[in-house]
Amino acid sequence: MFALSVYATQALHGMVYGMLLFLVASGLTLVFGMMGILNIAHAAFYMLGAYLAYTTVAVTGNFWLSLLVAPIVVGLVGAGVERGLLRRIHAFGHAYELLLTFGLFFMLAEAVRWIWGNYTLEVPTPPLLAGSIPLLGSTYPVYRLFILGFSAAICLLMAVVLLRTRVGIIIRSAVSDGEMVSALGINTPLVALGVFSVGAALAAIAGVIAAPFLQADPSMGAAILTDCFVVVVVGGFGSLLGALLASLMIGELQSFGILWFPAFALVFQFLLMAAVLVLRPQGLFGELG
Amino acid sequence: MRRNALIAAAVVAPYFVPLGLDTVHLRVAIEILYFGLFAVSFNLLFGYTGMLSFGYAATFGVGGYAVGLIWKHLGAVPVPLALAMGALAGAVAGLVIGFFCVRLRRTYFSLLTLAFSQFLFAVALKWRDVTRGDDGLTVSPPDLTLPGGIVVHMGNASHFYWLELTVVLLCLWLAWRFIRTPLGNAALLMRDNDERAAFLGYSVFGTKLIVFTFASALAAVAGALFASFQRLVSPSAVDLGTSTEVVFMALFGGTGAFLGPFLGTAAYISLQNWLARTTEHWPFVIGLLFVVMILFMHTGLTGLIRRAATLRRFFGARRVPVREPA
Repeated sequence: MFALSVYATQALHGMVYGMLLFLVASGLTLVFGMMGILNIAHAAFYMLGAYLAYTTVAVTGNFWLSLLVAPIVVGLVGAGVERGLLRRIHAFGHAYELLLTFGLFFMLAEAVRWIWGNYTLEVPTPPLLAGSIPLLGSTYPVYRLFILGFSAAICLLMAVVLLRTRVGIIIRSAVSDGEMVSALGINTPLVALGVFSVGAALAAIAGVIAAPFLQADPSMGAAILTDCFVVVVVGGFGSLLGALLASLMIGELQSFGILWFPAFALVFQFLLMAAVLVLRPQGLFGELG
Repeated sequence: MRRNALIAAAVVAPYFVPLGLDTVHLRVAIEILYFGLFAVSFNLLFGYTGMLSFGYAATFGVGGYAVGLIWKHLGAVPVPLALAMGALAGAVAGLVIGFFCVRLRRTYFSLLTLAFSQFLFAVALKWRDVTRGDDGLTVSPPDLTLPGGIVVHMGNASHFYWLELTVVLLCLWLAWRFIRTPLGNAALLMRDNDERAAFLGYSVFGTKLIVFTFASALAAVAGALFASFQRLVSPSAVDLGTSTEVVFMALFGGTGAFLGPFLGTAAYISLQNWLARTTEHWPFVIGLLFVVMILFMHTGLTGLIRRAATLRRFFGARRVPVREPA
């Protein structure tokens, strides 16, 4: 039917998108684990990252600079959202927190259309990474391999921070029992603020490196939003390892779904999510909160 | 006595609306009616039972596609019968979706409803033989002959409005009766504390499933009216945008009062119509308004009205009876 190299290429495609998805979803799942908020605006942070990359490249001509600019700007926006908005309405209950981030997503998505226009903007691939190299019997774009390597590096960095540092221990304990951690004299609201901002910054980084690959598009936020939901649910709320596995699963599912059942590619991930919610609501690696 | 007279006036007065409106505004009124019913039924879940659905367009769309298919394949089924069949289809869809969803709580519930609606969206988009995919399914409601030989022309906006108003009032009355039943009270208890409800011996699953099914039936009627009026139903009736709008409409009006979402729908649609003429970036303004509203008046317009009424009473003006928040 297909040559082996087609499968290999398709599997690589899936991994590239899966790792990108993981960068976005990791912040989302950590924030959910700590604060119980599913931050819908998170997808808008990702989109903002891509557009900031466009502007940075357009102004300075340097792609790498945007890897610095976008996470700082978006991280600050995230901090403002957590501090100025979400914390104020915590007392109204989880539904209103969810709804607030929903409204924010709406606002940010339209703000992007307003500022950058309602069309796709092309972000050039940095010259260093342009072109393709022979791989697995065919050629493969270097930039996609860069996405893979870069996301894997960040993933590793996160693992080191979370598993090997004091901050990491505090975050992990806050995810599993925030009250206890705060009773031990740790300023959990500050930790939450930090995790929220870093999560936003990570989403922006994902947006930046996605920009030359997927281009900056006003609908990219909504597109990744539903994928992120699926990742968070399937992996388990608050579980990073779960998010990693689920992201790769979604990536491969989409990649091969399009190859084999193009008509139903949209449905697979939702079937997966529905199946997990029905059979194992806590997700593959999560604990039921 | 006085209260009954007021209710009677509130029921009868809307029938005179088409006499004073041009076609453009009448179309807006028609939209407000079916979206209003949609939002009120959404609030049976959210405001009364504490279930925030992110995929509530699912059953709305089922209603729309149901009547479209009925008229396409079964011929000129009279509108009331077709609407009833649409409601039945919505109830069945609600029963199936609810069976899986109502076990879950909070965000999990919201996400699973989203998953189901996305699934139905994909079906509407891809099952072209039945739904005609992107092109949408043409909906052609036959004219209705009432006893006495009066003909309701479905293509005439005023006629449509009168028929629609009757259906919506009937559904609102049913919903009102529904929440006043012991089951409706149990639902309220579950919104506030479903663990306690379970300890008191209520079947949380059963109660929530019944509320979900009932609300879905009403949403399907709203969707059927929508499709009949637009004469077309397309996957966008089931998409995330429609699910989003109903949340906005209900929240604008306030989820603490039975008719709050209806008020919210009227305000939302009027505002949207006005904004869309003023700026092409109206979604930004709507989003901003929504965020500001949640921050400063999360009880919505009805909460604001209630507060005003309380203030007036406080300052010794005419005593206004204030109903306890539902």
